[in-house]
Amino acid sequence: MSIRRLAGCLLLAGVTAVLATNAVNARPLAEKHMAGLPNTCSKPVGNGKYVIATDFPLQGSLRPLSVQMAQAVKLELTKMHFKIGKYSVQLVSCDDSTAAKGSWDPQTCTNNANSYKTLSNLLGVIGTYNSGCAEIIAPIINRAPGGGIPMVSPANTYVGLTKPSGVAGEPQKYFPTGKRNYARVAVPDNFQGAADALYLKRKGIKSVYILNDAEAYGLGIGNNFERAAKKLGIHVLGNSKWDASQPNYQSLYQGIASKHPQAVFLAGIVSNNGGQLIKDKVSVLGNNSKVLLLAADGFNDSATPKDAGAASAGMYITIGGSDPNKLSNPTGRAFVKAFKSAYHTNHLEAYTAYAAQATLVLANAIKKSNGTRLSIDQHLFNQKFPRGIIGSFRVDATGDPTLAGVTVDVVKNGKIKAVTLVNPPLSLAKAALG
Amino acid sequence: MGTSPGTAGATSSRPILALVPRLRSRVTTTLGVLLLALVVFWLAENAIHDIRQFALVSLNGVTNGSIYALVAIGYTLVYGILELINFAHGDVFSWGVMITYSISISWLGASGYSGLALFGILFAALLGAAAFCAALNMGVERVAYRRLRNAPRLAPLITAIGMSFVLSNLIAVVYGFNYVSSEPLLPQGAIFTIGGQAYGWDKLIVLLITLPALIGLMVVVKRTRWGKAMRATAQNRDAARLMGIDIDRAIAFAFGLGGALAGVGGFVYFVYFTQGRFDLGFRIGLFAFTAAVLGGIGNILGAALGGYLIGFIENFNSGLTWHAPGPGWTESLVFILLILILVFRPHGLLGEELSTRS
Repeated sequence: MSIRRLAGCLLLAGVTAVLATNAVNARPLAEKHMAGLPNTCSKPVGNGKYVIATDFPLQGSLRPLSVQMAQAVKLELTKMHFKIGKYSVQLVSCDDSTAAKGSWDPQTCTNNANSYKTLSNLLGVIGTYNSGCAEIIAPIINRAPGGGIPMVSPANTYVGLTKPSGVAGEPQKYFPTGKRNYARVAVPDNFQGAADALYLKRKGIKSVYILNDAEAYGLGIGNNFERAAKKLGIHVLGNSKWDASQPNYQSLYQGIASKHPQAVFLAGIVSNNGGQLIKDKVSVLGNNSKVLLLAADGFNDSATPKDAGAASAGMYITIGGSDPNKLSNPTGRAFVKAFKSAYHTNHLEAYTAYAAQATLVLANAIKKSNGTRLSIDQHLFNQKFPRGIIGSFRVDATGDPTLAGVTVDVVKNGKIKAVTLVNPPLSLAKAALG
Repeated sequence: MGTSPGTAGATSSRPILALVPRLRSRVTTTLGVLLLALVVFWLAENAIHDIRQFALVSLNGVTNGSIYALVAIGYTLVYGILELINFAHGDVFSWGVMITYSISISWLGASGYSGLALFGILFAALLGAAAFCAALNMGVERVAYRRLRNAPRLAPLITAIGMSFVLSNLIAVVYGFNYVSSEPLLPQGAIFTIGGQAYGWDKLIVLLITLPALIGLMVVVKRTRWGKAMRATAQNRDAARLMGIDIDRAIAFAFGLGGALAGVGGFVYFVYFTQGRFDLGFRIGLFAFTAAVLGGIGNILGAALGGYLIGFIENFNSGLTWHAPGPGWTESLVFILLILILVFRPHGLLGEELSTRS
C-alpha cells in the first residue's frame, strides 16, 4: 500500500471515529430534550408537569454572568422544591448565544422564541440578559396559543420594552395581541442614564463624549444619558457609534481628543470589542484619572478587566440597581449567603440577585393565577415585594420595578468593586426619557 | 448613380454611432475626475480645519495600512501565479496572530520581561509566526488546491472558501471563541507629539517591521532564482516547465512567501493591538483582498498601495471631524471605492503591468 493511500485510509478512519463519537454522545442529548424545546436548552431539572425556562447568553464573554443568573433561578426553585403553588415545575436552561459570535445572536433568539411558542406547558421564561434579544422574543411569545407566555427579565434595561422611548411603535410593538406579558426587575436605562450623568456632575465633569455600539440597548442608554447630561448642564461633545468589527479605535479617539472631553461614556456591551475600545481610549486620551471613563452596565462583567487589562484600571461601570455583593436588606443578605454556599463562590456577578428576584416575581404571579397564561400575565403587574431580595419595591402597571438606585463600581486590581449608590431624582429620570 | 434610401440612412447614422463610445468614455472620465476632486476637496478641507488631527489620523492610516498591505500581497502572489483567490489567506493571518500569542505570552511569558529579553521573545514569536504560516499556506496548497489545478475555476474557489472555514474553526478549537489579549508589548512612549497627541514608538516599530518585509519580498521576487521561477510560472506555466522549472515547487514557494508575510502581519497585529480572536481574518482578509484588487490583482506593488489606501480610508473615516461619515460606514466606503475603481480602472490602480504581462 502506498504512503498516500495509507494516509488517506488513516484520515478516513479518523473522521469516522470522530463522527461515531459524536453520534454516541448525541444520542443521550437527543433523549434528554423535551419535545418542542429549543435545542439550545439543557436537560430539565425537576420532574414537574409544567416548565420554566431561563434564556441567557451562555457562551462568550458573558458566560460567567449568565451561568450565575441561571444558578440563581435554580436555587430559588430548589428552595420551593420545584413546586409553585399547586403547580409542579421543571427548569430548563436555554442559550440565546452562539459560540461563533461569542454573544447573543438574533437568529438563536428567534428560534428559541418560536420553540417556546409551541410548548403548551411552558409557564414562563426568565430572561433575557440582552434587551436586543428581548425585543425579538417578546412579540413572538406574546402571540403564543393560550395567551402570551409570561416573561420576566432580570437584566433588560432598555426603556422602550415597557414605556415609550421615542422609537415609533414602542412599547406596543412588543405586545401585538394588545395584552402585556413582560416584566423586569432591573432599573430601566432612563434611571441609569440619569444616575450616570448625576455621578459625572458630582465628579465635577463639564464635558463628555458618548460612544454607543448601535444596538438597541447601547443606542437607548446613550440617548438617555445624553438627555440627562444636557439637563444637568454637562456639555455633550458628541454621541457616535463604535464599530465592533474594527481592529482599533485610535483614529476615532483622536477625533474625540480634538474636542477635549473631560470624560467618555461607553453605552453598549463589552462583547462588542469593548476591550480594544478601552485600551485605545487610554492609549490616545490618557489614563482613566486624566480623562474619566464611565461605562453602562453592559460592561459590568468580569470580561471587562480581562479583555482590557491594565487599561481598565480606574474606569467606572454602573449597574441598574444594587451591588449584589452588598445587599443590605435581610432577604438579600440571606440570598447572597445561600448562593455563595450552594455554588462555592465568593463573588456574585452584577445580575445574579436580580435573576433570583425575577424568579420570585414569576412564581408569585403563577401562585396567584388560575393556571392559565393569561391569568399569570395579569398577575405579573402591580405586585408588591416589601421584603424583596433586591430591596423593597413594586412591579408597576407597565412591568417596571419601582426602584431608582444605580450602583457605581470601579475597576481596581482587575476586579469590579462598588463605590457608591446613586439615586437620581424622578425629574431627571423623566428628562432622560425625552 | 443614386443610392437606395435605406443605404443612405445607414451611412448617415454611422458617425453618430461611432460617437457613442467616445461620448460614454468622456462622461465616465468627467464623472471620475469630479469624484476625485470631491474627495480631494474633502481631505483638503479637513486638513485646513485641523492640520494636526489630519496628520495624526494619516499616521494611523499608515500603521493600519501596513498590516493590510502584508496580507494583500499574499492574495496577489497567489492570484498572480494560479489566478486563484485564496479566501483562506485571511485565516492564515489569524493563525499568525494566535501563534504570536502562544509563543510570546503562553509559552515565553513576554509580559514579565523588558529590554533585550523581551526583544528576543518577540523576535522568536515573529520567526515562529512567519514559519508556521508559511508552512500552513503551503500545506493548504498541497492538500486543497494542487489536485484542482486543472479543474474548472469554480472548484478551487469553493475549496478556498471551505478552507477558510476549516482554518478559522481550527483556531476556535485550539484557542476558544473569546478574545486572547495581553498587556502592551511594544514601548508606548512618545517619539513626538502633534497637538498634544503622541506618535508612539509602537507605531514606528510596526513600520520598521513592515517596510523591510515588503522590500525583502520585492528583492526575493525580482532578484532570486526562486522569484524568477515564480514569475516565469505566472507568465506561462507550460513554457516555464519546458525551461526546466519545477512548477509545483514554484507555486508552493509563492504560497510559502504569501503565508510568511501573513505570519508577519499576524505578529504585527498582535503586538500592536494586543488582542486576537478566531474570526479576525474574515474582515481583514476581505479588506486585504479588496486592497489587492484596488491595486491591480497580481501586482505586488499595487497590493501594497491598495493596503495603505484602505488603511487611510478606515482612519480618515473614523478620525476626521469635518463631514466624515463615521466608523459605521467604513466597510461601505471601502467597497464603494472598489466599485468605482473597477468602473474607471478595471485593472486596478497599477494594473497596466498585469495587462501587459497577460
